[in-house]
Amino acid sequence: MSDITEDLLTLGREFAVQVPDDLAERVLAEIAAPDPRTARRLRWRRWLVGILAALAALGISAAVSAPVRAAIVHVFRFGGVEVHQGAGPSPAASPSLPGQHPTSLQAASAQAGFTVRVPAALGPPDQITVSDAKVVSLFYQRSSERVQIDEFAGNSEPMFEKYTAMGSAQRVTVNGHDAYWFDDPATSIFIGPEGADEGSARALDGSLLWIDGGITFRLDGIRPQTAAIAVANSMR
Amino acid sequence: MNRGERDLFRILVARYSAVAKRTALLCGAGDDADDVVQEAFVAAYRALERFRVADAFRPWLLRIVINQAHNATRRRRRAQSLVDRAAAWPVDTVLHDTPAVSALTTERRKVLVTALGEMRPADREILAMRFLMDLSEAETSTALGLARGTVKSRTARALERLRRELAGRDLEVGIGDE
Repeated sequence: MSDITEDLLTLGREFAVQVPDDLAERVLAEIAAPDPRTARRLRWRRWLVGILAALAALGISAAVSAPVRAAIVHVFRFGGVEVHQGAGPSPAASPSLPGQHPTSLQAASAQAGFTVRVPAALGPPDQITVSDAKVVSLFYQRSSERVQIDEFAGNSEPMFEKYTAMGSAQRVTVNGHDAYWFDDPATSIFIGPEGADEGSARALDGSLLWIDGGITFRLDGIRPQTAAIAVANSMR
Repeated sequence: MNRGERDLFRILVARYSAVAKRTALLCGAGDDADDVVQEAFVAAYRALERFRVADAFRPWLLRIVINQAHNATRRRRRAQSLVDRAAAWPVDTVLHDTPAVSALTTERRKVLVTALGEMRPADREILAMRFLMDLSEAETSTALGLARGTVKSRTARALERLRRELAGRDLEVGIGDE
């Protein structure tokens, strides 16, 4: 006899249903019936922000006109990063994550609990670090350019907050996965168990954010967008 | 609701309507499943002030769907005879619509669906949420309005009951074959 829980899962996966095509219209019509409490509209609007974030994280493209999007989206979450609109905290003089220390490429995967990836386009990093929260960072010094790639697991709780002008967020793909390119300068801050860690506040200038296999990746320091995506595509 | 919000709401409905309907059927909505799903989305809209953005949306919505499905069952119970009540578990309808290619044998599918149909609704629903809908313990806890610990212990008990029931059936089949 095969395992019962496996069979139940299979039964569920094969359980297909038909949903009426006009369901959304019927729901909307019912909602449109007079509602005395107009305050709800505001709550609805605020709440949509969260939903849009969830949809974005699921890779569902919201086909909404630009002005509507601009009005509604104040914050959205992608992978382990929560993006906020507006000015963030001032960057720290030498930003670092709690417990961040140098490690080797060989040791990093075991310390982080996932397979650390390296961009073939850049080769082995000049330096690699791992933090208490298992954020792995690869560093490259290319003449005056400083390139950093952060990799971390989990996306149930945001691990970083990022402040930027949301208008600059652009949907792109990395190896077929949803990604966002932030063209404008942004500030990134680590969110630990005790909240935002000010010592971690770091200025980003042109950054690419993507999720692959449950790992959130962030690349910054490479412009233009096409070059950044090429590097991201070469992650092995 | 302005146009943009309507657009967003359409996306929401498109994203969650199938999961809502499957839940409605598994929780006894029967022929009323489409109405239950529609009412659930309307009720979700009206309950938005109680939804916190930081929470997961899916289990929150499913809890509303399940409540609506239970209401539909109660309404039917008042209106119909005892015999009709069994129809709420979709044994002969949806779960028996075997896909063209199934990982389960027809016999195994039938045995499972029938055994689930004979369970107490509380046991059946917890197995439906945890396995058929593949929700986590935390999501199941929200969807069914139970404490995490209760979900854990009740899932284990329900699984054990289902295992015993299936073992009994295997035995019957064995005897019948002789």
